[in-house]
Amino acid sequence: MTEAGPVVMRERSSASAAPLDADQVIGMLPHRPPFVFLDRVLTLEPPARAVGLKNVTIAEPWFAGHFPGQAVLPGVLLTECMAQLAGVLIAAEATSVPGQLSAAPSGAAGMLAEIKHFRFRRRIVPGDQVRLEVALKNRVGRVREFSCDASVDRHRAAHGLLVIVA
Amino acid sequence: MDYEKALETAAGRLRICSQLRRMIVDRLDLPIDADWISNDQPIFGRGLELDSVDTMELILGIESEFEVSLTEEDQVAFGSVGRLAERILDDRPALLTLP
Repeated sequence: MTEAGPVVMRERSSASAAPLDADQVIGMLPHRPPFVFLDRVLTLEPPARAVGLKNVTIAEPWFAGHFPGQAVLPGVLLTECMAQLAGVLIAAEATSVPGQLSAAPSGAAGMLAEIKHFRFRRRIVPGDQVRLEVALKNRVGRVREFSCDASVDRHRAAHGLLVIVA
Repeated sequence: MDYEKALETAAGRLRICSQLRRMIVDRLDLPIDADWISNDQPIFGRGLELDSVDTMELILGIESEFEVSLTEEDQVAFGSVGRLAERILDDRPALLTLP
């Protein structure tokens, strides 16, 4: 098939070692399937910013119950998508020099400590490609606060702040 | 320093301490009355038992309410509400006499 596939946006910068495919993402996180929610990292600019993709499919197990006959990606899982992208950004900061990414020690990505001011503005359903973006807003020692955005087809789907201790 | 000036300075310090105690309770959602915190009570450890996430919240709060930027290096300042007030006044002595 040569058409109608999801359009993958490529966003490059000189400091970026991205894009990372799903296997490379797994190499940078302590998470393992079925609890890996990032399919690709498009932009990685440690320590400031990362952009990633989550492709939503009806095969994901939670859609059987959330909700029967009306599949909607749970907001907590969308939040987890952004937390994992922030985890990749932190891991990249710990292990990379610009343009050269080495494998991160799994488990070094940090723990989610606070979810602040999240708003979910539209439903995310199977077939959607979610663009995720996290940007470092504040940092005090091991505590980082990220501004997070999720969008589908350039429409904002969710936004908020995540605090991660790493 | 004359007597009137000393009184004004003391009142200013108390006002900043009071604002800090209120900010700590509000921003950290502590289940206590702001007046229960004393100005020399340790904020971390066995004091209010705040953690590193709370530290960042306090730093952001102080920046927003007092326009003073603290960092993790300011550990002495986080010893107590009184010390935080001193640190804020070091940067913004004018706060002492503001209405």
